[in-house]
Amino acid sequence: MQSRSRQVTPLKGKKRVSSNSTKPRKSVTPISKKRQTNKVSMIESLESRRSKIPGWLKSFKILENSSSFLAFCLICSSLGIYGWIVLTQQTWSQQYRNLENLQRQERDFTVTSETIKNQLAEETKIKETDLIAPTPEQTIFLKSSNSRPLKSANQELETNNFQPIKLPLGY
Amino acid sequence: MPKQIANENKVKLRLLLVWLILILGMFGLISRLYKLQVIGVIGKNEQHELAEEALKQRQYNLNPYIPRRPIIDRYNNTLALDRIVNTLYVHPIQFKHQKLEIAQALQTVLTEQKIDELLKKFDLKNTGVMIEDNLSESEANQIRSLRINKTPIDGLDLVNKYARFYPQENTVSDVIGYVQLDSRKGQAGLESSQEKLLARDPKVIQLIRDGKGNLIPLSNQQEIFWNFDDLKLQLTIALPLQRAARDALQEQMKEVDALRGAVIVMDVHDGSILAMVSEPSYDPNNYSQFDISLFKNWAISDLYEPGSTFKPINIALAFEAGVIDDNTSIIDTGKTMVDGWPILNHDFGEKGAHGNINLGQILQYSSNIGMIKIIERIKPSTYYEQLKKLGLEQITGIDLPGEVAGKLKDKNVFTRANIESATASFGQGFSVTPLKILQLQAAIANGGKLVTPHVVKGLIDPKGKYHWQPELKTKQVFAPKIAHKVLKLMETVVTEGSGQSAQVEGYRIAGKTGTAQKASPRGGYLPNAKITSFVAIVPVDNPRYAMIVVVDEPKKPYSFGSTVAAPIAQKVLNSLLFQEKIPPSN
Repeated sequence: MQSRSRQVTPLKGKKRVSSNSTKPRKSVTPISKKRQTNKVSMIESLESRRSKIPGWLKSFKILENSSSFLAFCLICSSLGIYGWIVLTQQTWSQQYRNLENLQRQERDFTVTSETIKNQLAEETKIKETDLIAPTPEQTIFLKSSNSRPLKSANQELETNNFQPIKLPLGY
Repeated sequence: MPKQIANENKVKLRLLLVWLILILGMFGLISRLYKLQVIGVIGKNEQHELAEEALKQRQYNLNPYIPRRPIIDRYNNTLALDRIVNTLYVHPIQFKHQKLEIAQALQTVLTEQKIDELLKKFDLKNTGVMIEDNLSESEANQIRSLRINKTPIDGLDLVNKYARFYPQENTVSDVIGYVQLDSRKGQAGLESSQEKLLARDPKVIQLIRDGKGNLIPLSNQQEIFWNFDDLKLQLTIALPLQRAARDALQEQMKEVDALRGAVIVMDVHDGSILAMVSEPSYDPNNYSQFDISLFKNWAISDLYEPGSTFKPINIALAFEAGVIDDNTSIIDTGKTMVDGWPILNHDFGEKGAHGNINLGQILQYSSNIGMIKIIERIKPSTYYEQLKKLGLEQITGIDLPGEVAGKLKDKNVFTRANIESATASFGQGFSVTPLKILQLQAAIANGGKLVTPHVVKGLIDPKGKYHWQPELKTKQVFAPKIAHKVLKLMETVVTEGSGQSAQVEGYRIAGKTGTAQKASPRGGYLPNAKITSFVAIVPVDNPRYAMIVVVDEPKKPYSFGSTVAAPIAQKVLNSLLFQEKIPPSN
């Protein structure tokens, strides 16, 4: 019964066959021998097929390679673009905050300076400040001088003739 | 063996069941996914809400506050601008510090509030107690940076909104007006009439938020941000002159106890207004505390009988009609009867008849009789047409709201009786605005052209380039020669006549005083109520500016155009001549 059961098991799982392969195979019945020969012939036929890969399969292979390369490129670029988008967003919101801040500062500045201006003007009304409104009487008006004819550039050069300074030779 | 087969079948059935359940589940999931992703987004059934829901979560409606454009004067002083004001609320339920500590900390910024008052407010409600309104941005920042024992204060809430701020307070309020705090609409002055130039289009910008809550711009909307214009509305007003005019007017009104007053200074060549003051005035920052009647600018919205300031205009009309020339002289009897009505000169009581006087003297003495005798030489219907041609019944077209056109009597009424022409000859019996009189005076100064008075110079960018400027009309009403003759006559009023108190040393100034009775709303004239005025043109040798000063109902005795209005004119002229750097005439 034991030998029988041994015969059955290798049929059920190939693993067992391989695991028991160290054991002598001679006791094995001709049926298993037949199977072995069959296997060999199958492998042979496969090998012979591989050597004759059809053209369409080759082109598929090329397609696969090129498409995976393309996919790689696309992934890289999409990652790049994503990064760039995130960066622009960040810069944008940063700059927008900056703009808002500057606008606020500008408003603050205008408000303060104009308020001070108004305060100063209001203070002039108080007599103790001794400030008075300017009048033309306190203004000096200068008569515009008679327009002088422009000297031409050449004349200027002539008058400013360069005279070499005489230096003693032994200086 | 049969048992084994039955077992195998059972297993197969189970497998099949599990497979079925999984497959069904898968289909269920796919169909749900299809509903959510395809039908829910593009379908038109109720599932469409999902798309909206998703959009709501992502999208952020940025309401970038588009401030109204600032208003600046001709020297770029800011007259009105938008600023952020903050309202401070507290939520005592969120307090993590002692109330007293928080009150003490707040009091360092809100110096006007008392600690015990603050504590009382904290006890009012658990949330949303309003502590202070109208906090400036710097005050708000101080509150934000408040710390107790180096920890920030919880339960403080600053809500910001925009409010129009008028740093010059009441100085330019008659021109600018104010903006209603809640509706943000201009309610008076330029804020109301130039709403289109001041309010930028309110645009809601839709932005997408990323996972972190950062805003993502949509490319086509980005333009709105960067094209956000920084134009300002520039006025022709000169703030220092405006201030000087208001100070001079206020001072004199106090002195003579007057009801109200107005000063307008205008460039005679283009009609640009350098100063326009009417008193009493209001502070547009706290408009709600003032009487509503102050919000209109009475210098353009109320009519008055101009009186003697209209005499130079009548002289020009007489020249136009060809009834007088340079050598015309009139016998002034001091008093006359027209259609049974007695008419006297204002100085008849003191000086009696002036006798034979020339045109210059008619203006110098402000002789009513002289004017009557000149105007009666013109046919009443012709005279009426001439007055109409001056546009007395039309508005000047100033860019401020509420301008009122003057009133002339009906032609039939006017031409039927001589008294109508007679009273019109010294500027009574019809009514106009002070601005209209100024426009007519400017026509005498500029060679006979009616210019359009205006206060808006244009929309200006920070580089000084104008993006919009008003188109202004002019109309010739006097011949240039005639205008020049009348101007020379008016000069003698200041050198020798009633306008001497407006004299500024070294300058040639033309002027005319006016003291008119006030028409009663029920007809006739109000006893003891008069309106004093003065018109001036400087400098006579090269006229550039015209000015009108009107003081209504001065109660002090001996109040005339010469004693009340002319001194104001002199002060304003001093400032004007200084600020505009006009050299003395000699």
